[in-house]
Amino acid sequence: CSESASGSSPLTTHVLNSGDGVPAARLALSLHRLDSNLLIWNLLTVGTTNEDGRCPGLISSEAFTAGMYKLRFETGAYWERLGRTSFYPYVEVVFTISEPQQRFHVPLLLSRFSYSTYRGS
Amino acid sequence: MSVQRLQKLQGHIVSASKSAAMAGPSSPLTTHVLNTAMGVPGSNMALSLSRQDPSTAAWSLITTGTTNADGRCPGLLTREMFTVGVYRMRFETAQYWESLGETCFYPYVEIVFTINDPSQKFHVPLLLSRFSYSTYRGS
Repeated sequence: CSESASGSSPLTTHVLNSGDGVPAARLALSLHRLDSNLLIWNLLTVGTTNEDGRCPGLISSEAFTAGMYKLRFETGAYWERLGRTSFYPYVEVVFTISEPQQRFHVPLLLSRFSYSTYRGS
Repeated sequence: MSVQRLQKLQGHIVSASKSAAMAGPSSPLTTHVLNTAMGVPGSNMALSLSRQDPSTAAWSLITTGTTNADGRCPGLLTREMFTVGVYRMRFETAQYWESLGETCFYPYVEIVFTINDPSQKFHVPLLLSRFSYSTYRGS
């Protein structure tokens, strides 16, 4: 994810390791948008969370059109790097954006055996 | 005790034994959908269970179902079918909220999980509102 993204991304995320009570740093993730005609996912961005568990510059306002998006978090690889197993090899959160002029925050609260997400702003 | 009261009690006992008889050996994998926004079970939600082929990474559908009035879906699979592997439970969340006259941020929810020890019991619930969801590994 680019720190130098001009203007902040209308879509943000934040990954928290709720098992250890720390941000989930250096977790790989990717953002995809569904091509509604071909019904395939187009990869828009790949990135890694920073020390604070965030990934700035996910998408520009221009690119953020109405549609169906998917944020994929490489949670299995994250836990493996910490020397632990986990129940979920990865987590994909699929969401619908009807009003792309709003700001959307799609966080992931993650432990080895649970996760949750919500729509924030 | 009145005759009507006795008849009512008899009705409760009969229906309880009927449902026990209908449940076969229980599935080693269970789910439970809860509508946390309304404080009710997520009933009548369509769902499906698939397993990933380890060599081709293709997904095969194992079962489809709909949650009952309690938000559960008994009989997902048998012990014999429950092999080591990567599974995916898909919940038709937007369709569910649409039937309640509401929109949902999530068109569907897919939970992908790894089963290394199929001799255990696994509970994969979904706690869902229009704008949030959570899941955990239960037993």
